[in-house]
Amino acid sequence: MKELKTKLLKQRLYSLHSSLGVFISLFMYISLFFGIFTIFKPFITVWEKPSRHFERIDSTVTDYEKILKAIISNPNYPKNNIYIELPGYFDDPAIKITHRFMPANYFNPYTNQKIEAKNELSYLGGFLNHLHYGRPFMIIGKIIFGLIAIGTMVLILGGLMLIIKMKFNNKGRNGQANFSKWHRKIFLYTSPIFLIIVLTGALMNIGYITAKPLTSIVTKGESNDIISFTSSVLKPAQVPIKSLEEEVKMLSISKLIQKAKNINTSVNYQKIKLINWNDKTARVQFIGYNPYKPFLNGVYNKEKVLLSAVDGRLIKDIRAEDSAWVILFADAFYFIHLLYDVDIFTRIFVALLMGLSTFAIGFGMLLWLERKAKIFDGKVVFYHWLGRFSLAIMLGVIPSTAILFITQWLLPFDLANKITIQQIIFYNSWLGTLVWSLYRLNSYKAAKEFLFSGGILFILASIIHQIVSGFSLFSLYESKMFDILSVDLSLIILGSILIIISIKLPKNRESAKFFWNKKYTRST
Amino acid sequence: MSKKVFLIFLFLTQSLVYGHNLFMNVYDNEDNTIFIEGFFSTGEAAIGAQIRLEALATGEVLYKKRLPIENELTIQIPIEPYTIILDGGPQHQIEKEGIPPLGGFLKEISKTEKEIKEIKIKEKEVGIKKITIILIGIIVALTLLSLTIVICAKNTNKLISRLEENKQ
Repeated sequence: MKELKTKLLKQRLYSLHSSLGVFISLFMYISLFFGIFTIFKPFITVWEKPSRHFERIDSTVTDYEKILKAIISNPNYPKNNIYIELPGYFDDPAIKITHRFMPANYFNPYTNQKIEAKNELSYLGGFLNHLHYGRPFMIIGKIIFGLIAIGTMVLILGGLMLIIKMKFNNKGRNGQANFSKWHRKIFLYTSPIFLIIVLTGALMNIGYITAKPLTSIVTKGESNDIISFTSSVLKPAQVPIKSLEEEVKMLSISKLIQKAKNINTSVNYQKIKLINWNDKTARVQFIGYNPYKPFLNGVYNKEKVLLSAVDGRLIKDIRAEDSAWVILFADAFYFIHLLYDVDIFTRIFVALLMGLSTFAIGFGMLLWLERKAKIFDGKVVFYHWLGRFSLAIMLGVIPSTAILFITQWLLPFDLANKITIQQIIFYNSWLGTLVWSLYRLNSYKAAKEFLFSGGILFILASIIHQIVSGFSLFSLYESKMFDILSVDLSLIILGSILIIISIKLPKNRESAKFFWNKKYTRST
Repeated sequence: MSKKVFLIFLFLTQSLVYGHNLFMNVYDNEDNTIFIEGFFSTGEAAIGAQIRLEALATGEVLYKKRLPIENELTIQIPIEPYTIILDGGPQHQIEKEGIPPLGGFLKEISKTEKEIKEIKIKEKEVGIKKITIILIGIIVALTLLSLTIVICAKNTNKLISRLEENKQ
């Protein structure tokens, strides 16, 4: 009886996993695919803008006073709580001056001149990020992607249970067995981090919406907006300091940066907050990320040094561990998903893990399709709507995304409604790949064509960028614009890999049987 | 049942629509002055946000000042119709109709209505261009979708006939 129950549980678990997986995997694949681009968003946002094509310099050599003078000379500009984002923050080489109630101003740290980018219509990095979590379809898209994340968690946990409960044979001698093996093995290794990322994704997309009733109960009906409720704890507002209305000379910001660097040597300063500037009560707060304390700072929590702007006296030295446990917990929880301040190696590591997960999803989908295709084996071409649809979703997205990169530099930057045109071209080209995958009876050929065209288009995107921007790979290297150079090189490498894969992939079902089982075929 | 689901959905999504907004409270002191205060939806005071009174007829700025540390301002009511604006930076502006003084406004809106209409027409034109682009995009998308149905039907028929041929 117990044996029968276990068998039934396994069967139910397996059918739930495969039926839910087929539906969810397509959405999760999209989220992961664009998520990988989002990991490198800081680099892409610099690459996409002509106004950011200059070298990133050390934050202490800039003449901040000259820049500030240009801003503060406007009598309408508030003198309290002005933020200076230092060059290199989110890889932007420009200096950004912001105030909560004023539009942002950007300056070139070399020339100290204001960057006039009103006609520079550009939103590539932001759009890729939006596609990652369903934002283009507004609240409906966010809810759908949130539900997909919840479904993915069910799939991961169910999959792990299946691995424990069922005895899978890892020595399969056909494509189906190999797809099953790779699907399981890859996910087994990536699942710990993938699960955290999916959990935080679900929380951000759907958790905040559904927490409304709970927030209302906790606050005894005072508020039902979880973001407003938590931000008072996670980002506590500072007590305002009353200005004495006595104008005094401020110390040089570069000198103050140096002082702050001497006080906390391990932090990478990103922002400076100017409080009551030019007043006797003036203070400067240096805010940054400490790379030696990952998971403890970098999201809500930041290390801060508060100095007097009049005499440079230390007022407060706030370290990551000084914050309340709730803030530390929130930072640890969101750190691996948001990757706000981390270095390039951590980004590459997470991107590789997510890239592997997209392959695992692909193998899962292939496993399901292979099972269906077997029925028609030798009789007629397998022409299943889901197969064609997933082909367009999973591989058709590659040339469409490449087109997005191409149009970024091919369409004039001052073209009215450029962003809308660019996005419409992207959506329609993606839809066009669905037409193509249905048109081609041989799906292997269609897959090869998508990969090949995607590869060519990604390389072309880099070439077009070099021509239009006027910066070749060599001149980018010479001008030390390494962030932009890295994007161009990545596009070329990605394109080349896609072309190689497209050449190596099988042409038809017969050669596919041999391709997916090369090891066995060779040994026999 | 579907009505209930819709209401739950509306209840759950409401916070996203109204999250992190600015709020402005305006009170009539009934002595020809108004009292203004500003808040964020988080409950935080909007200290530093600019309060502006603009003439309805000309758009002329009649008064402007940033909310002080006390987060409140008492302002003399202008003699002509006006709007109160709490300016929290780009895309964060809220407007309220100005409260009239005791005995009503001395000046009335007159000739500039035509100018206001012209501005509105210009704004509409920009919007129309975007709508045209989106419409073209939707037409292309619908054409592609219809093409998928046609191709799918054609290929399916082809495969069915092949299958039947194989059977024979």
